[in-house]
Amino acid sequence: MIEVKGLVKKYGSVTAVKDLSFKVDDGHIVGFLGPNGAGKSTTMNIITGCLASTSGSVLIDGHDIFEDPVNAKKQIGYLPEIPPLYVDMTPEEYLSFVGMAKGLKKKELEKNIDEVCSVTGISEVRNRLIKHLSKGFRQRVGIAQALIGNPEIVILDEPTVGLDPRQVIEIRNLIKALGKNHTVILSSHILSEVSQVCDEVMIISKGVLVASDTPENLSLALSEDSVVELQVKGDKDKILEAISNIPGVKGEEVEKESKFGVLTVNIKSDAGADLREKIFYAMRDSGAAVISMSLKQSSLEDMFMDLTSSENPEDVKEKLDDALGKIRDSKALSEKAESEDD
Amino acid sequence: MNAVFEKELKQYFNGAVSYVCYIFVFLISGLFIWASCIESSSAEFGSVVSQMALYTFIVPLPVLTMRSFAEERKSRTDQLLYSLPLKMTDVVLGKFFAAAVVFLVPVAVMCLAPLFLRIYGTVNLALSYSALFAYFLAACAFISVGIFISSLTESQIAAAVITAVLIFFNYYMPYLSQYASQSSLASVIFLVVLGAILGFIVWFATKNATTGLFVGLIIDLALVAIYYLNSDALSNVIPNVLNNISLFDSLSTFGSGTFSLNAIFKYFSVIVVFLFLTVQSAEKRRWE
Repeated sequence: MIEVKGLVKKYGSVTAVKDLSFKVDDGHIVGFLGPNGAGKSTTMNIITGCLASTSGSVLIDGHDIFEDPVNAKKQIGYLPEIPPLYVDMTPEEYLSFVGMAKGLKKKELEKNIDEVCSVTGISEVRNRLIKHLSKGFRQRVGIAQALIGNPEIVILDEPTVGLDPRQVIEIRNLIKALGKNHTVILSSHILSEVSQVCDEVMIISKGVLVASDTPENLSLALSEDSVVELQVKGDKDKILEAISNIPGVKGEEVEKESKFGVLTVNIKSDAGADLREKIFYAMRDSGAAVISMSLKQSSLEDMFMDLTSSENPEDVKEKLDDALGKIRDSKALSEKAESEDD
Repeated sequence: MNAVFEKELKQYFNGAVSYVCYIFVFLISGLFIWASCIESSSAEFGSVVSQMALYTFIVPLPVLTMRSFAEERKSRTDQLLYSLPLKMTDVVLGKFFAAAVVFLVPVAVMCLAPLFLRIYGTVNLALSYSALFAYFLAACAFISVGIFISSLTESQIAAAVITAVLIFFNYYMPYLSQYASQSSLASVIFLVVLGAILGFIVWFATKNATTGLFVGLIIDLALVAIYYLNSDALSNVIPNVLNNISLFDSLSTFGSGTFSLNAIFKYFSVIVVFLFLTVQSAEKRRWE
């Protein structure tokens, strides 16, 4: 388990990390999401003991990274933003150095290197000099290095940057597989990547943790109004009246009317709300036939960029806290309703 | 420490660095032994060792130590060293011992020379080997200096040049000492500056300005007090210090047949001090 409390890092007069506190439970894949320069790498460097913080504490399974660094670091495998490779060594020599430094015995180490090489798919190049390897392989050697010694916590700083799309998918799958046996923290500036891979996402902007939740909830919170596009056949006035009577509808607009009497209506509601079920029953009650219905979400990537480029991360935090609170409440309510139904 | 030691050795021998050093050392030492012993029919192997020291140190040692920390920093592999469960002392010791072992190889080969020379005449083996022992310790002392310099910069070239210049000046210190002022006033100014520098080092190491200031002030006040009470005690301090800084000077003592414990102590002090400073300098990187 990782516990970070009140972390502050100042470079001269610039504050890179402002009072960061969070907890990562065992067996989770957590993503740090934020634009470049948000303080993700700084935070990771502090957690792994590469960088001293100005104030605050980091506990790795109860070991303080500053007071008891050797024991704390034994639990961690770390891949920094630039993979720290000795290019004049072969992956095997390199991994054996890392393993020895982590205190593995010779026999154990050989077995461990075999395992790690096959997990990361570098078995075929393990005896070639690292300087002759392609970027994708180098990245894998970097990940292999983090996995040596089977640490409980694996921390990866932007593991997919600079890889080709096929390699990106491979690395993502690898990370998902790692999540079964390890606690994984990874950073990224790509929302879709984090939401695909992670159980939990922390959005960091200008050194402030602005939100922390499941990717699903965050997507809902980040999207503004949700829009249901409905195609329905029936009496127009009746349909529109029925729609406006559905609780939660903020507005509706007829986009198209086909000559066969099919209406295309866009129905707006609050962010995170999903009115499709209610719309279906309302249409049934008003005797109209639903042809198709889909929930449209606005481009999350854009919203995310807007949010994190905002001048004042505290405002963003408040706004997101509000939205997330609503989503959590509505989820809790619907869960409660479901259990009452049972 | 073993991990870093093995890794460094692998890197030395995977690349050309160690071989370049060997070619250089063998060429120079071979020339010296040929010219001073074989060609001039002399069995004074001990003094040959002290003569060739500067020329066998000035290129190989900077080359051996230049990449030590500079390259780690430049290629960002220092982050790996910081994130592994290693103590910085172990990292520095591993690097130091690896460089020392690489340099031990030509020294070991040189150990054969007195045996060959014995074929042609009488060679004082004890003297020869104690001179080689001192030669190796002096090399280790310069290796620790070189590693420290390497820890201050990202540029291997800068590290190598600075180390080479330091070795060069160290060699000529005794000559410079003849021109240094012998007056007590010059001495006290010199020592006060040293005291202030020591204060800064303490500040740097403990990250506590008050302690550093306190140490510096106490030393400086004591010096000024000594100067006013008994100024004669401080005369000749600068020439003496310059004389004693030289690590080469003691080598000729060995070459002429004296086993100087003083010199051995000096070599070990230099090694310990510079390795300590290297640890501090590498640890400080964590704060930047």
